[in-house]
Amino acid sequence: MASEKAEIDALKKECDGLRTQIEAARKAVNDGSMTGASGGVASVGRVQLKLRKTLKGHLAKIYAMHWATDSKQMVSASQDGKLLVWDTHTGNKLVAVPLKSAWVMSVAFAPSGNLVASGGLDNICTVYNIKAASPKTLRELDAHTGYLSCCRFLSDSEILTASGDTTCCLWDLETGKQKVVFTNHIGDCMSLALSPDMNTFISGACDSLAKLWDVRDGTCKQTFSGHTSDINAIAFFHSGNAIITGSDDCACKMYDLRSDQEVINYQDTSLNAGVTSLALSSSGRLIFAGYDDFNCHIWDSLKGEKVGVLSGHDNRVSCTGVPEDGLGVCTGSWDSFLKLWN
Amino acid sequence: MSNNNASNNLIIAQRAVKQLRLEASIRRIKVSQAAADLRNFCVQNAPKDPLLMGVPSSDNPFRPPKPCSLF
Repeated sequence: MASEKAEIDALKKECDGLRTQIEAARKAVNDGSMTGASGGVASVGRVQLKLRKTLKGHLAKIYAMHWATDSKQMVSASQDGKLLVWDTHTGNKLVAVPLKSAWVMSVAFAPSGNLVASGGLDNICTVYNIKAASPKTLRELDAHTGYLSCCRFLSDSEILTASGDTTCCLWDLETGKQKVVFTNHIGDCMSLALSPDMNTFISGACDSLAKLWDVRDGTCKQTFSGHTSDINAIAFFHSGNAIITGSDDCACKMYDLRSDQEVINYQDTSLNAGVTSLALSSSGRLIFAGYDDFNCHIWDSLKGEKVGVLSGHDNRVSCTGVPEDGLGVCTGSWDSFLKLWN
Repeated sequence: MSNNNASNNLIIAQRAVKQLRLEASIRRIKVSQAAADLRNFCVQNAPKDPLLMGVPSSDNPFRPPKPCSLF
């Protein structure tokens, strides 16, 4: 008993020492700032995007949306118990998928366009084939012990999920089984994003930490702190070298992976609402962040300044997405509408 | 019971140390270098960023189509 306690105390001391070591290592390379490096870059001025379309069809709060890789189709999920696949160019609804459980929190489009996945308070990630004559359930991925907050396909045979049970998971869609379980967060996982090269992914959680994981071996490679509340949204910068997070603490942050630290904070004293979602323009210069204040605010990622706002929703903006071709931005809201802007 | 808890706590502490050792061991580059690379990426890709450059009306897939009259 006593020896075990002594051993635990020694290990705790070692942890404290390692944390101090990590902070010192980060400080040692902190020889500049993002705003400093961007001093000579031209300002983007005021970014004024126009509302081009309002997609009506859901009957309750929209919780999630995801663009297809063709930049034309998009899938949205609402607690009216439906997934809707839209042709965003015409505004037409292409497919309606009725859900077994209406409490959906996340939706994803497979890169192939053949499959969509969703999940929520049922703790299950359900995968549907939407190319069949009528949407067919392909798999029910049932092993999480908490709600499904986010899901993203790697291909038609693999999907990553994030859960309120504090873990993320890589599933094999051929067998329906878990391949890798990612454990290290100590709070509900709220969001995940895959790296451009698909070898790593990042997760944001209610422990206010963002973590970088190796998709194949399950190891947590890096941990980023700084937020003071739940991280609800996370995205990779397109170069693959940085990540952006959005939190209930009303701030967004950019962390650089190679210098292992926060490099810029996006915060405004007039903004007292939590960040629910975020997406980047194709060059990474603009960050579109959805907030609880019913707006999507636009940030200059290099200079850390607010440069615009997308106003028009009558309730919280719950999801935001920019398609691969970068031609617009979609916002989804608790007001049951999706809006397309460019 | 208390034996189990103690062993669990030990395992948890051992895992925490292992994880922190891993995270402490990575190579870090200077922030000035990282920031310059991020800035250069944005600047190089800016001309092809439709939301920065603006989308011409004729090429805007989301713009409602103009009505067309045929005589």
